[in-house]
Amino acid sequence: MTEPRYMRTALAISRLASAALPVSGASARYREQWEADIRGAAEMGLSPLRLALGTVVAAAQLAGTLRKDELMLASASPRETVDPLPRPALLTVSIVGGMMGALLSAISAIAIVGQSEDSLKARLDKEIGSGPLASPFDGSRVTAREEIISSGFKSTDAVLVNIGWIGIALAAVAAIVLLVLLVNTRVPSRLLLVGAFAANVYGGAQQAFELEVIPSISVLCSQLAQAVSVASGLMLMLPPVVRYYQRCSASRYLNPASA
Amino acid sequence: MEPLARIGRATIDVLAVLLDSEQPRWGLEIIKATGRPTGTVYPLLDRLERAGWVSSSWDEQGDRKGPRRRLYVLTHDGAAEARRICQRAAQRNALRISSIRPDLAR
Repeated sequence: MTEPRYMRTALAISRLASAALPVSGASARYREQWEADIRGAAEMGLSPLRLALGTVVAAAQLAGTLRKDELMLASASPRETVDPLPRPALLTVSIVGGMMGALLSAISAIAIVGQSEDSLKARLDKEIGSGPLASPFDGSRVTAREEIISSGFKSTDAVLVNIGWIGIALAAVAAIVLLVLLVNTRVPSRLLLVGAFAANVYGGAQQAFELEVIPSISVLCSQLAQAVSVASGLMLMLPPVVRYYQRCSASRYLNPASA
Repeated sequence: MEPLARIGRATIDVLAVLLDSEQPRWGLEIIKATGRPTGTVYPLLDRLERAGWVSSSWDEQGDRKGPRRRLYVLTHDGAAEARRICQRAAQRNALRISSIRPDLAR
């Protein structure tokens, strides 16, 4: 007896979802489990197709968890190391995604600052010479320096106009990826920070060594890095703060006398 | 058994369904009983299983043909902790109701 088309479609979707799981054991297990669930959905009064679409969402979340476990095993850095910290410090560390996250955030911030400093210094050296800067009383030199600094900021601001279709496509892909990452809260935040850090370093190096080589790519990298930094910061910051608030309000409900 | 990082309403619903039955429950039955989306319940069961609150096994006894069903049951420690969490959630709900509608709480 042939299966109805909707059932075949549902089974195909769930098989694709289970195939996306990174660990082969988990993939085989969920393939069989979801197939049994989809075949039994009708007797439970549920829609097989809806169930299959749910397995796609589940697979995305499970994939994040499985990858995180693999990373934790590989790095052998258990989460419990942050437990002895006092509560405010624990909250701060959890906001930035653990000790490694805090370190990467700090390095990333330094890279952003260093990048703008380096690029301005390079432009100054190139346009008004590498000799000692004039005293504040030397009108012409000071004016040139101010112009360069202001034009530097303007060129960074204007990059979104100049990046062209490739840049727009890249930005669109980045936006979609960020959206998926933001929805899937189990994505390892440290990877995102490593990505932001790497992009920052690349953008900074391009600007510091030679501004004229691929200016649009270097500045685009810098812009993307900053966007990723902001997005990852928001992603890391919001859930722990919300959880902290919920825990506080829950303890107030449970112990009204302490409120 | 490891403590859970976060315990939301969906977690409480799933634990309550598992507490209601001594027998292992089919994953799809849990989805149906909680009324939660599939994309929420499967990762939640996975998280509970990893933390040692729940254990799962294949349904080998049925004479059904085809793929096997996955059955979930609370572990001994998981059941004790789930009971405590569900009681606390019930108290919290009662307090909320009494603060909003004192007439209903009486």
